[in-house]
This record gives sequence, C-alpha cells and structure tokens, in this order.
Amino acid sequence: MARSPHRSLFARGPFFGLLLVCAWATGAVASDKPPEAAQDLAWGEVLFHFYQADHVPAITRILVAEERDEYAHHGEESDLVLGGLYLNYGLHETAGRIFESLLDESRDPVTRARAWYYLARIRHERGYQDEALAALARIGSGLPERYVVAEVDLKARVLMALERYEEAIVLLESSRLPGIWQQYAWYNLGVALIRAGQAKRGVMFLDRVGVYDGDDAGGEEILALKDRANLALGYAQLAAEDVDGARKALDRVRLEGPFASRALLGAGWADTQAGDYRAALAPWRVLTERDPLDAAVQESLLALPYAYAQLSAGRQAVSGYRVAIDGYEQELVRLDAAAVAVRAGELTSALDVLRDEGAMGWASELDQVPDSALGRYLYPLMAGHAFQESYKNFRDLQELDQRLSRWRDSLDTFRDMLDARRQRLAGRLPAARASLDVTSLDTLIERHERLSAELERVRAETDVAALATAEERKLQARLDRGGSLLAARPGHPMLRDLEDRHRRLYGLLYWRMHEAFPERLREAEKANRQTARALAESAERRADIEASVNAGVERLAPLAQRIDVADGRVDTLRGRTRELLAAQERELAALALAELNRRRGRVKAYLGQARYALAASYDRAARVAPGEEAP
Amino acid sequence: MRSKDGKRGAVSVRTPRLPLVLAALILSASGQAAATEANPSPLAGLDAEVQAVKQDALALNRDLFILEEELLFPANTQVAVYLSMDVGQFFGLDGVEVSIDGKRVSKFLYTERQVDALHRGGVHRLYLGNLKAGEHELVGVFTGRGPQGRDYRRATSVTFEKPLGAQFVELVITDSMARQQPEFMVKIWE
Repeated sequence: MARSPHRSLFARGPFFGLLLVCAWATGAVASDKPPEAAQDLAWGEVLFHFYQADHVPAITRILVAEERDEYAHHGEESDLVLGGLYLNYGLHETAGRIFESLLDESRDPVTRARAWYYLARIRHERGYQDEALAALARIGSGLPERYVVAEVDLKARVLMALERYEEAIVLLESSRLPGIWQQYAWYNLGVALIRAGQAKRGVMFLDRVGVYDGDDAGGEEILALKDRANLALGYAQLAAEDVDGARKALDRVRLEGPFASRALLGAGWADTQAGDYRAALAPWRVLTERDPLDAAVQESLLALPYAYAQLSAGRQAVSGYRVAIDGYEQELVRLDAAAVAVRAGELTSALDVLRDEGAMGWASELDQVPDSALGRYLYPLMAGHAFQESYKNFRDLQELDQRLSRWRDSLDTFRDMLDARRQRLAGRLPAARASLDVTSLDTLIERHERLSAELERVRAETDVAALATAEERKLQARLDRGGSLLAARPGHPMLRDLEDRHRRLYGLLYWRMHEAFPERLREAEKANRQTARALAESAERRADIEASVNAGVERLAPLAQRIDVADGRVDTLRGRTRELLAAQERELAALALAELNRRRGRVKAYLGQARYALAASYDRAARVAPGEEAP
Repeated sequence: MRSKDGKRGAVSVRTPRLPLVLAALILSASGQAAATEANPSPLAGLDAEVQAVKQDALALNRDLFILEEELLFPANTQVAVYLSMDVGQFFGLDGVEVSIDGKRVSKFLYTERQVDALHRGGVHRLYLGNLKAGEHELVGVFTGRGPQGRDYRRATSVTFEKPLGAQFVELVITDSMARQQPEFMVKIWE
C-alpha cells in the first residue's frame, strides 16, 4: 500500500503533528509573509486554487499552463508546487520524477534544497530510509526558514526509523523551534532517549512537556500533547518501578481527553505496584463504566476483579469476573455482527456518512457515527494507517468517477454545440462567400497598381499634360485641331498670324500646365496613397472575413475529432475507475476484517483469562475454611 | 508491573499487559509508526493502478479544460477578467460585480477562504466570455468593508480596445498608504 506523507501524519498524531500538516499542505509556497504578486496570471490562478486546498483544480491549471506555455516567470516554483500537489494526491512516483528533474535542471540553491527536501520526504514515506537520509544530507543551507520545523521533523523521523536514536537525540536537543513545535521536539526527544536506553533523561523531557504552562498551554492541541506526554511518562515510570512518579504523571491526564482510559488503567496498575489494591479499585471502577470498545476498558474488566481477589473480596471478584465474561461475550457478538456487515458490503456506505471531513475531522464526527453494527468500529478502523490510505484511494476514485460522469455530460453538450455551430455556419457560408466575390477588390487593386505606375512615369517624364484639367484638355484638343488645320497649309501667308497666335496660345497653355504640375502631382500622389490605404484596409477586411469563414469551417472538424477522442478516453477511464473502485472496496473490507479479527482475538484471550480466573475463584472458595467468606 | 504475591489469575492478567501497552504507546506516541510501518517494497499492485488512473485522469482533465475553452471561448473573441489583491489591509472584500458595455456579466461573492487565497497571492478569474474586436467599456463594482469597518462600495471603469486576439483584464485591489484608503485599479494585459 502506498503511503502519502499527510495521511501518515493524520493517522499517527503527534510527531510535529497537526501543525505540520497545515504547513505541508501549503508546503511548497507557504510563507509567513505574503508571497510576491504573481507575475503571470496563470500562476495567480494556480495559487488561488492551491491556497484553498483545491488540489485537483490547481494541478489541472498548472498542467494547462505548461501545455499552453503561459509562464514567463514562475516555472520552477510551479514545478515544486506541482510535485507537492502530486504527493498530496498520492502520485509519489510522478512527484519523485519532478523533483529529480528539478535537481537536474535548476541551479538555484533554494530550489535545489527544496527539491532535496521533498525527495527525502517521498523516500521516507516509501520506506527507503537510507536514501531519505542521503537526500536530507544534500539539502545544505539553502532551505528557506519556514521549512526548519519540517526538516527537523523529517530528519528525526528518518533517524528513528533507522534506529539511530543517538543522532536523533543530538538533532532534537540542538533544535530550537518556534512556539508549540518546541514542545513536540522535546516530546520526541523524550521518546528517543527512552528508546536509546536513557530512560532517566527521557523522562525529564516528557515531564517538561507534561507540565508545560506557557501562554499557549490552553489550546486543545497542546493539551492533547501534554496528555500524551504524561501518559508516556506514566508508563515509563511504571516500567522503571517509580510508582509515585507514574501516579503523578497519570493523574495529570485529563479525564475527558482521548488518553483518559489508558491513564486510568495505568493509574490502577501503579497502585497495585505499590501494593495498594484498594486504591486501584477507584480508577478501574471508573474505567469499567466506559466504552467497552476501548482496549483499556476491556483490560480493566479483568483488572478490577483481580484487585478484589487480592483484597480477599472473593464475592466481588467472582461477580467482577462474571461481568467481564458477559462483557467479552457481548463484544464478541458485536464484532461478529460487524464482520457480517463488512462481508455484506456495508463498510463503504457507512464510511461515506463521515466523508468530506478528512481524517482530522473524524474525532469531532464521532457523535454522528451511524447507529449500526459497524458504526462503533469506524473510528478505530480509520485510526489504522493502511486503512486510511486505502479509504483515501477509494474516495479519490469515487470523486474521479463523478468527475468523469460530469465530463461525459459536458462532452455531449459540446457535441450538440458543435452541431448547432456547423448548421449556423452552413447557412451563412454561401452569403459570406458571395459578398466576397462581388466586391471585385482584385480588379480595383490591379487598377490602382496601373495608376501608380502611370504616376511614376508622369513624374519621371514630367508629363504635365497627363495632369491637365478638363478645361485644359479641351483647350489642348481645340489647339491640336487648329494645329492640324494650319499644318495642312504650311507657310500660307494668310495664316501666318494664326500660326503665331496658335503658337502663343499653345505656349501659354503649356506654361500654365507646367506651373501647376508640381501641385497637381502632389495632389495626385496623395490621392493615390489614400487609395492605397483604403484598398489595403479592404484587403485586410476581406482577409479577415475569409479567415473567419475558413477558420469556422476548419476549426469545427478538429474540434469534433478531439471531442470524439476525449469521449473514448472518458469511457476507458470510467471502466478502469469502476474496476478499481470494486478492488479498493474489497481491500478495505479485507483490512477491516483483519482488524475486527485482531480485536476478536484479543477479546477471546481476555475471555479465556476471565473464565480461568473465575474457575480459580470457585476453586479457592471450595477450599475456604468454614466461617471464612465464600464467593 | 509484577504481582507481589504471584497468585494465579493475577499474573496471567498482568504480566503480559504492561510491556505490550508501553511498547505500543511509545511507538505510536512518537509518530514513528508511520515510518516503521511503511512498506519498503515497490508499489503494491492496486495502488500502482490507482496512481496510473489518477495520472491519466489528470491528463484528460487538462485536455478537456483546453478543449472547453477553445470551443466556448475562441482566442479571437476571448476576454477574461481577473481579480487580485495587493495587501488589501484597508478593504475587506465581500464581492465584485463586472459589467461590460453596460451589461452585467459577472457577480461574485467571496468566501473567507477565497479572500485569504487572494491575500496570499492568488488571482481569481472572475469572468471568461466572448467580445468582438473594438472599443468596450468595463465597469467593476467592489463591495465590502472599508478602513473603519463600514460598508464600502466603489466602482472603477476602463475603456479598452479589444484586439483580434484574446484580451485579459485584471482588476487590482491595492492600498494607498498615503491616503489610508483602498485603491481599485485596472490593468490591461498586452
């Protein structure tokens, strides 16, 4: 079973516990101060999802941004976040590949340090502790300040998994952490010391946490940690046969807290260790009234009559053993009923009642546990790490199945939209194409080109006549006609005056046209430029229309094809998802049955002991002298 | 703990209990169990399959996200309006309303969690739609609580020339330290 880093923390309670979960959940970019503004809108969108813990939309947005090449700035940051999100989503292998690739490509020491940190985390969670330690050693000093707690936590956990307690002790002793995290560090230091055989020093640190009364000592989390420290301390003292120390620590555990039952059990044992069986009766009596599901309560059912027996209260002892036997038998019946319910496939529906709360919400949801054969076992089942992992996968698959159903509906809608668009376009296409044909823009452009060439020639040849006004052209035509007549009778004496006048008039006309030529040329060229612009705009508009018409036609076919492909992928994935859902459900049932079986074994063992002790009590009673108390 | 008198029954009850309880307690209390419990073997079959399906589903999600946008909001007509916050200590955001060319296109009320995400650098895509190329007027109306915790309502507008390609408009809520007031700006992304 694969493990996710978050889930193991949820499942296991305090190491650095819940606080770290929050830090890790927003791990890659979390910071005490607000981050710099997103320089790419796409990255801003990713953060908007990410900070709301909408992990799948955040992953999707990153993948889309990468596909569309939307990042100009946040590439490495995005890779780190994506790796963290994949981890959260249970995709350890993919996350690992991302961090390894970052280490290959990035030269930024901070990015590299963060990538090493996450790789160490993945390796630790996968059970590769030596490799995790090697990755931790590569982090160096580049890790941002906000990672200090997480780094210490991870390193300590790795060292303790490797049973290198001395190194864990050195690490935890030298760490100075902010706020409540220092209490966690001392707590874990105490545990490490005890494991390393330095019980005396370990007890000292557990005691320090157990009596902590700092400003934040009233919070639920620190109270739970204190309870846990006092409980561990109490049992450690019991092992060291320090009865007073044990009693003192166990008495500090809150009666309404989650560790109360085990504390009450230990308190009774502490009294019996001191030989005070009467004193042991008090905590054990309280305990027997509690939920018989609790292992400590089950043990107290035996411990209480044992204490009576030590006090020679044979009748109460016998009565107590009978109560115990009755209690164990009832519990066996309940366990069997729960197993039947699991086999009947009721487990996941019972769990679904509590869904959407996440592991942290379970304790607060206990009041809402369904009143069924299975209901009372849901919380203890969820406390198991493997079960939690399996259920998380189950829920992810359920969510995936729902999303695929939504996509299936959307794809149908897309297809309808595309059909409608195709029909609309088919209706418009002939008209649009016809309007393009009648504009004769090409003819106009050709004419303009000819005109431009003509203007060039006029300028080059200073062809003043070419720019003559209509009146001048008329005049010139008349003069040309007159000139033709005069030319028919060259040198005629009667026409000599006319020839002179004709020459003067012609000269005058030419002079006028020549004078006006520069201005006329300028005007003509200006008009020509305006025409050129107008024609260019028209050409552009026509290109747009053409592009739009063509794009409309061309875009539809590949879109339809993509919808078809997506349709197939949705169907395939739905099939696989449903198969996996069934398999995951079977795995959950197997895990639940194993846990119920384990409990059954324990209760049966208690039952055997209770029956044996009851028989022994009867045996003793049969041998009591007359006048002595009989059971 | 041990029985002092060694009587039957008592020993059988007590002797095995304490070491077990203690060992279990210390192991679980340390938070270590997750690590020691971890399976060092490669991915279990079922989990590997679940990972593969999730991976494929994410790729499909990406492709469908893109397909949906291209289908509904083609690049030549696409217009997107975003909201971001730079500090924003003078303004507690409740909601934003966006109108384009006099027509309301989006009205969004923010949850605390969403406002927090904005404060931390997130950018919210308020609206995605289609517009023809040319001149358009966008009006954003912001409602919330002002510097003295009073109800606050401010509007900002911009006229922009939408090109043939996609157009992105960002509404930015920022602080004017000099005026001790929030400021509402519009940034047109080129």
